[in-house]
Amino acid sequence: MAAESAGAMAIAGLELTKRFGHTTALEKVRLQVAPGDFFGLLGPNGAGKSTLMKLVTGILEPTGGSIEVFGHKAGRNDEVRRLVGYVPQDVALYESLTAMHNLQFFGEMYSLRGRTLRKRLEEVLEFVGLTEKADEAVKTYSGGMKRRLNVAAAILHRPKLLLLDEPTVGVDPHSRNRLFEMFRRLRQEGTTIVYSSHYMEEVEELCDSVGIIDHGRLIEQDRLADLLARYAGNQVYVELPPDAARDEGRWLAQSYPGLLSAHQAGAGWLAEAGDRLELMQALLKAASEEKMDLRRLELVKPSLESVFLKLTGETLRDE
Amino acid sequence: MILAVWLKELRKLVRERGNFVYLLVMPMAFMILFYFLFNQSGTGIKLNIVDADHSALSQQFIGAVKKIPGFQVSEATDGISQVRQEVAQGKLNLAVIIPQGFAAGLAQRQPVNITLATGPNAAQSTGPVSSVLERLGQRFADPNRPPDLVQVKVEQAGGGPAPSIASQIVPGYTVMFVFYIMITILRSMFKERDGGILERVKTTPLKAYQYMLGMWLPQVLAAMVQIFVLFAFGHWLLKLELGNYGLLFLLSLALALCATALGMMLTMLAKGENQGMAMMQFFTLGGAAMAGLWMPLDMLPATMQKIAHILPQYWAMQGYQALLLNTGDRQVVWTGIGMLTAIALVAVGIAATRFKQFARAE
Repeated sequence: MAAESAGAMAIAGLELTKRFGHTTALEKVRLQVAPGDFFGLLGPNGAGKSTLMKLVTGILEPTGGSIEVFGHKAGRNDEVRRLVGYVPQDVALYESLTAMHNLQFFGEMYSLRGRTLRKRLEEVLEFVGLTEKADEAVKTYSGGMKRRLNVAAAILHRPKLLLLDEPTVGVDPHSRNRLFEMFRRLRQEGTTIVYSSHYMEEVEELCDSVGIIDHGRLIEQDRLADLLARYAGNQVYVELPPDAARDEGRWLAQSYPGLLSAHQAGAGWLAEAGDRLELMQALLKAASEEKMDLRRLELVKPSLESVFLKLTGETLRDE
Repeated sequence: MILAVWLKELRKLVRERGNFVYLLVMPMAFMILFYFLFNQSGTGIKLNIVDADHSALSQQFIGAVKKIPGFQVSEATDGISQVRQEVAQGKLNLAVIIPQGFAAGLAQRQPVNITLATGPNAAQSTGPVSSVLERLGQRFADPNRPPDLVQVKVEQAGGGPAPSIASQIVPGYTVMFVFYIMITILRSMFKERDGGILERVKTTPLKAYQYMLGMWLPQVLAAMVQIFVLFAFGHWLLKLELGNYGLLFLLSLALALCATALGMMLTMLAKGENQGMAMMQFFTLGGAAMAGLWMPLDMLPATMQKIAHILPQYWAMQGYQALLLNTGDRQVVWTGIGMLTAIALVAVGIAATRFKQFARAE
């Protein structure tokens, strides 16, 4: 088992830059992931999430800056390779081979042999719920089973840091929940997990900390609760009765001069203020004076969607 | 770790049944097809003769032509114009027309023209047939040599029995199809790269040279098994004599190393799977034609015979034929082994230098 430096961050990226020709995939990223953390890397497709993960694994080398994993310089470093497990976005398995033969191959890549390897194979197959199907060719598996096996191949050597690159793409809700259970158990066992996704609800459900990445820049990184409190804690949703003559944005601003922002959302508006109870009172009062029945007026549960919108000015695109 | 990659690759080879089809079934089918095509009696150039002279001499001439091996002669009962029309339409390939006055002309020592009517598909046969008829006609014109004494005898140089056609077909198609293993290598490596497995493997402690050796060596073994099966097939079914087993093994090993190393090299050089496939098809089929795998090399034009010397298929074929025809020329076999091994080493060297670029080219 590879050693980790005492007190070191699981991942410490400093001014990390990666360019492919004239295209900048990552620009001066500073990333800190604490040991034992369940870290969500949130961003749209093409934002730079996979590139960042490939820099941590050593698949890619940075154009600038540095990255350390548990105090070891990442790159072509066997010490780091033994500490890290990588689950790629695509299912990267040998379809014509059985699950057992696939796992045996990846186990041997980490120098697992003999009894130790057999024990790990049994444990991991049990963990991902594929013991019964171990001797069947992977090509006969469902999408969800392949995803579970994809994870299994990365945890055979018991990595301290597990990198999951969009591990639920294309799986049904049942399989997704099963994968979530696996990830939670790994976290309970002390594995540091970096979970990349463009599904905000997944990151909200699983992660303690979140890094928001867009156009190759890490825009914000903090505890999930702190991010929500800071960027998405003061919104109300209001829906006015239809009136072609009314400028709704202007009406909101006039009704509450302390309004910080207002964005159209569906049939209504998301309005933000320093004190949202005061905002709601002001809107109710203004509607009452105009004898107007508000169709909806409610507090908005803080979400990463709001955080992302606030930080990037865009909704999370799925391109 | 090399062993793990090696084992995995062998398992993949065995499980993908398509490999068996074009590495074993196809060459066997070709061997059987061509063996029976060229080994059957009754095959040869079909010649239709119209005897417009109806003389004893013209019948003697026809009798002499019939005795020549390689000709299937039939006498046409239709008239000259009808036969000419059938030749023009491609219904008949060749027709020999003996003109009226053939015997009288020869008796008076006058020039006599035998016509060889050729159809649209007779280009390859015209030269030899014309030449044979001309020589035969000259003998008939010589009053001192009775025409019925003309005989054509075919004998094998060296005095032994004529070699079996299997000694051309079995090594020819074995060498040709061994190079198809390049396609297996190409598909396997591109699948690993484009499917993300190579990238995943790069996150493990496995070294690049271990990966390459692990991918290469099982293919060498597969090629050796292929050669063994095809020669065993030729020996037991097509009655091919195998000669010196030790040298046969060494030459086969050199061939397996060479074909697989070239497969690794071309895979690393190809910009994509389709481009690689095209390069390999060209090399495999073009090389087979130019190196004398389909027909004896001396039937090819002189320039192509010279070009053949740069092809590994040529060296393999020369070595195998020296062994199978038991010529006693060990030098040819050892030269073949040396050339194939040298090409393999150069190819592996090039593949190794290109691997990094291949691995990151996705």
